[in-house]
Amino acid sequence: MGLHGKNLKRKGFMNMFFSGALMVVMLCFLVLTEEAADMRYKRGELEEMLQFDYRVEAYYLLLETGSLTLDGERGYGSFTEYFITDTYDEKRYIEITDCMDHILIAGFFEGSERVRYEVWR
Amino acid sequence: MKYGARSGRFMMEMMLYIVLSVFLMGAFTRLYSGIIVDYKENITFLKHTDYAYRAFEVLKVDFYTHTEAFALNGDELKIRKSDYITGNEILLKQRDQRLVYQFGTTIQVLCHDVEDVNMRILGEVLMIELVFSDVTYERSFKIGK
Repeated sequence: MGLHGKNLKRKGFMNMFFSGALMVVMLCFLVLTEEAADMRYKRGELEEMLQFDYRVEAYYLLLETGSLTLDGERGYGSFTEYFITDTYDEKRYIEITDCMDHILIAGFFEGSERVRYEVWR
Repeated sequence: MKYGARSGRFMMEMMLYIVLSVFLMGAFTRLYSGIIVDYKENITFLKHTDYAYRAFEVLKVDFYTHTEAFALNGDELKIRKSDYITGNEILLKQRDQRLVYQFGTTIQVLCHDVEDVNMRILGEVLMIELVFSDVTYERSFKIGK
């Protein structure tokens, strides 16, 4: 009988094998759930990005047609309704600035500038 | 005596294995169904996003070319195009679960699966909101001359 056969017959070998298999299964579990959570987060982010883009565009059109006017030097676009407020959220905001000859609309998403529109007078 | 003791231990082990395998099978079924559900949700999200994006792009092109006038009546938009366009009276509305153009009696489908369509006008800007089962998108268009 070879060494291999002896090893298989050794007491407790199969138990060790099954514990290893169980650990691999658990690892697979962990990886798959992590991946799923990641995907869910990414999906939400994609949705918010598109909605954000459309909203910045809306502010551009509103300011361009004169349906909305900017009082003062700087304002921030609201995300619930279409009006300009003084308060903004650090995470994502639409900054509307009155530069002498044009109005600058910049969308900041997760800390970096994402879109920019200019309305020339 | 000795034989009986060994037999009992064997039965015990078998039962343990059965319980363990049932537990594992349950866990795997749960994982598998979770993956399938996630996959379906992701596909639906991408599909609806794509539908909305495409519908908005088509609307944008149509609104910005050869248009004369717009009239909003509830959630139905009447578009009047230039006289040299054939079928220049267009009605944009929701029909069942679709967003459609209606030229006289002819229908052109713009977007499927939509649950609700809301339109409103703010000054010279028209906002169209498409509500799907999982996402909502709103885009605005310039309709003033």
